[in-house]
Amino acid sequence: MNFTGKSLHQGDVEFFEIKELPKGLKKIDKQFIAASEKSGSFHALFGNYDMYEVDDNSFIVDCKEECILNHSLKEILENANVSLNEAKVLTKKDHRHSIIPKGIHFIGIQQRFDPLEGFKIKVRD
Amino acid sequence: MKNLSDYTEEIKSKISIYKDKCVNDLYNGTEHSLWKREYTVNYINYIYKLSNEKDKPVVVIADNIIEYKLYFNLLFNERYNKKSTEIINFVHKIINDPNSSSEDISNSEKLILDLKNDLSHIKTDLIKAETHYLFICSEYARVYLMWFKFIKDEFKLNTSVGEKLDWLYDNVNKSNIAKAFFCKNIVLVLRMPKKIKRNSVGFHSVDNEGAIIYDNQKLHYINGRSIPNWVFDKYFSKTLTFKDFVNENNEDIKAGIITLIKENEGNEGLIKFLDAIKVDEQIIHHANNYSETMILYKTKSKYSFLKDSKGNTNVSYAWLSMNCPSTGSNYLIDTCPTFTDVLECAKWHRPNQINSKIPYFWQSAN
Repeated sequence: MNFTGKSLHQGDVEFFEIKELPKGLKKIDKQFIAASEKSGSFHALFGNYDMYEVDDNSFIVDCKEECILNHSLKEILENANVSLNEAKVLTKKDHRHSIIPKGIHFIGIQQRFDPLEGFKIKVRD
Repeated sequence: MKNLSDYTEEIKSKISIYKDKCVNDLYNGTEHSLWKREYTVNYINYIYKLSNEKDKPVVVIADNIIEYKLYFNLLFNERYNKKSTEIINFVHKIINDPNSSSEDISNSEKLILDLKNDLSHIKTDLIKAETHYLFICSEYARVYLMWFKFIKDEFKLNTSVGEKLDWLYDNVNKSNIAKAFFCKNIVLVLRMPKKIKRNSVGFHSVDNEGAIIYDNQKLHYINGRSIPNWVFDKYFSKTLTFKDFVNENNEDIKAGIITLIKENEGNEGLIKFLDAIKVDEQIIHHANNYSETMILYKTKSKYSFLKDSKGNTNVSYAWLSMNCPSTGSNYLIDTCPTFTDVLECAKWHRPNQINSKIPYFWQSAN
């Protein structure tokens, strides 16, 4: 991936701008970037974009215009009756919303380290 | 028709007055101490009248969350509600009978208050207590009504429902309602807490009184996150150990422990608790004047059960200290003890695809 060096984060969710879409990506339906079953919270991108799967913990999005990254609760999303296609700000859970500029972005989650095992692990929310 | 030019600086300056009136007496305990049962009952009756309900409901009021759960079972759990249903039906008849004397009504109210004595029998097979959301009758109702009042009075707007909303605004605070469960003949109400402590993020308190305080119950919050009682109980009885911290898997609770120690004892207290040394500290300047202080800590002792990322055992415990720009919470993230440069350490925690040559620089951080 050809990174531009521009990056932003909302809690553990990190966005890194890339110059072009890598080849061979699998386009997927829009989905939460990260979600916690325990607290009902989620990080999700709202607006006009295409989403591609990189692995089970990271994605690439091609934002056709400015999109909104919300950290909110599933309950709030249901009551707001907003779909992932609409660039709308939801009531925040912990983290303020972020504006994701038009362009292509790699999305990953900040990695944790397990000192008992000695390797990096997927973050637990 | 009003437009933005009507929204003058003078009007804007009044918002804080409305906000203070909305919550100050709730937070400092005045509202709780001046409360009378009739205030809540009158508010509920008014709402039922607005809803064109013919009869007044029987109002049962719980003083705290534990009591609310018990009342919910006493009233709605078939295992426990035989006697209480008879009482409720009896009282409902009395309070809605135009021929009832004031003495009859007063005696029937006593029956409702006496239900509290039956709560101690409720112990097993509990059902989950529920609440209904009604925007003029919840913990948020006072805020909605405050904005209505501000807009109506300050912009001098006429509205057909103005009189009704004025009544609700004038009475919502003293009704002291946090949550409620509405039925045709009965309403179960949870009162507001006795006192509430907040910071700019949300509920927040680092003393042992709690952030949400009821008469016989307290709930702890740090920077808006719920923290279990055991953390405070152990900390204030001086029995909280480093092992408790290590064994805790939830990052928010870990962050709560760190904040609790830091706000009570400062950084020195925290380092002592962790038996750690500061390995490196750097201030990273990002876009939009946002800067971030990151610290790398390591325990002085080494532990046989710990491993570094190279597979070596008998190593130190190490943490990367980062602040969340949205919540202000301080997080100590477990990290590999081989690092001596906190910036390199922070880069290492980025997703695998991001190599260390890509600068650690955020255009936006929330």
